[in-house]
Amino acid sequence: MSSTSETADEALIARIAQGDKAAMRVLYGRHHVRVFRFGLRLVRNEQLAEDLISEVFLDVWRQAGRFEGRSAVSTWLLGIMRFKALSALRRRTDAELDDETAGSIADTADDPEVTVQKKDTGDALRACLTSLTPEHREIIDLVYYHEKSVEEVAEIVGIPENTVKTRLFYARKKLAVLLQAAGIERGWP
Amino acid sequence: MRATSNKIMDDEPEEIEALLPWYAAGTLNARDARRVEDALKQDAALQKQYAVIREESAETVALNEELGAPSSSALQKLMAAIDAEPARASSAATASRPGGFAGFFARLSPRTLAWSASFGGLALMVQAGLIGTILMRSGLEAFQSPDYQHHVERTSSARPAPAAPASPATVPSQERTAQASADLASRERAIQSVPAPMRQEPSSSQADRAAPSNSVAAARPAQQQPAKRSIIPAKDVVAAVTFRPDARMSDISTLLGSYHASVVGGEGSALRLQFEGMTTASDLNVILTALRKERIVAEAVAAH
Repeated sequence: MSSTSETADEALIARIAQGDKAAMRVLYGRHHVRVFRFGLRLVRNEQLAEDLISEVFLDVWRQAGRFEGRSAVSTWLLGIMRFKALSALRRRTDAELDDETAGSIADTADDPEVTVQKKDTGDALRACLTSLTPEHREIIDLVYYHEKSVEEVAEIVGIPENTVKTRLFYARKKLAVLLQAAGIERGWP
Repeated sequence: MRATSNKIMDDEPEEIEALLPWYAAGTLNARDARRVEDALKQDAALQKQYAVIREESAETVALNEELGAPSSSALQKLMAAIDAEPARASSAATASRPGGFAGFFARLSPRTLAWSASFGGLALMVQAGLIGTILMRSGLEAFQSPDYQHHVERTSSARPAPAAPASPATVPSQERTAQASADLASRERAIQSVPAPMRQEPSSSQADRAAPSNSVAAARPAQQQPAKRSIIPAKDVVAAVTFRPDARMSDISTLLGSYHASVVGGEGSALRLQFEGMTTASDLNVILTALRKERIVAEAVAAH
């Protein structure tokens, strides 16, 4: 995200802190899709993710006055979403989660061979990306899709920067293993 | 396959290799980006891995874009929740109010507060060090005050007339000699050493008393050294004064008032008088000279 839009985001947060609802709508319009998708990839339930997106921006409304601007607003939003998603996951029993996720998002985590049936490497890659553990999915999404730097990922996930680097490396290696199991060789590792 | 997986997972990433995904996403800082670029030019294996990473990145973006977006009900739910929130106009007004000591500090971040406190502490330590250094160099007994030093310089006999203050009463004329200027300056010093009421309310009799002759200043030893003020509270000088037998109590009382003197004891027929604000031997000399010219004073000597 450019520095200009980050500055505009901070100005919106300042207005929200003063109770400006119009600024809240602008900020929501600018960020809600990406934050929703980040949450959905964590909880794997659209309804739950939609509930969480409302909660995230309600937190922004309540805490805007305490935003210190030490990180980008988008980083702050993803951090709130991550906390709420993990909290929501903890509230649910494994059984409940399994029932609901089965109907919402296809998960091939236990069956990587399914990817063999995919038409091309792209489809196989997407299937394997979905099969990764939440921990690995999360870091790959943050780096590739949300375009977060090492420092920002460390802040969102709450781990040291070196751990961020090694965790992404192992996530990519796990992806390679899944692809190999699906019969796809990419020349690395 | 498991053996292959274990082998793969046991590897540790090289430093540049670990940075490749951020290079592909364009989120590395300039320095690291340059390092990766240089490494890519020289390492074919790294180039191959970079190609794989770009593929992963593209598919990750595509996968996320397929996820869709929340329905409009999410925003409606949010705005309904915001409407249900307690009004915070007062708190917002308080936060935006420019004044307020506590509010100012409350708006500072903890980091800013910590830095400010550290800076304040450092400034205090530097200030204490400077003061200590000055005291050590000038000796513990005294330090000089610039304006006081200037005043002493004005009273120096070696100084020409133009250095005298602008007071019309004390500015010497051009025709006067240097000696006359020195005398006038010394007189000014003597007058200023005498308590203010004596200077400001010169009644006819007081004027006679308080306008000491040149001999008053002349009797004073010329001050060759700059005057110094002690940082230790100085004790007021004391003189033993014998009044003439015909002196009336009202005259004595008036004299005590005009000299800012108080009776602190007696020595035979003399009274021990302490003079407020007069702390040096020079002050005492001036006082004694002036007292001896008083009509009701028979004798005035220094007392310990």
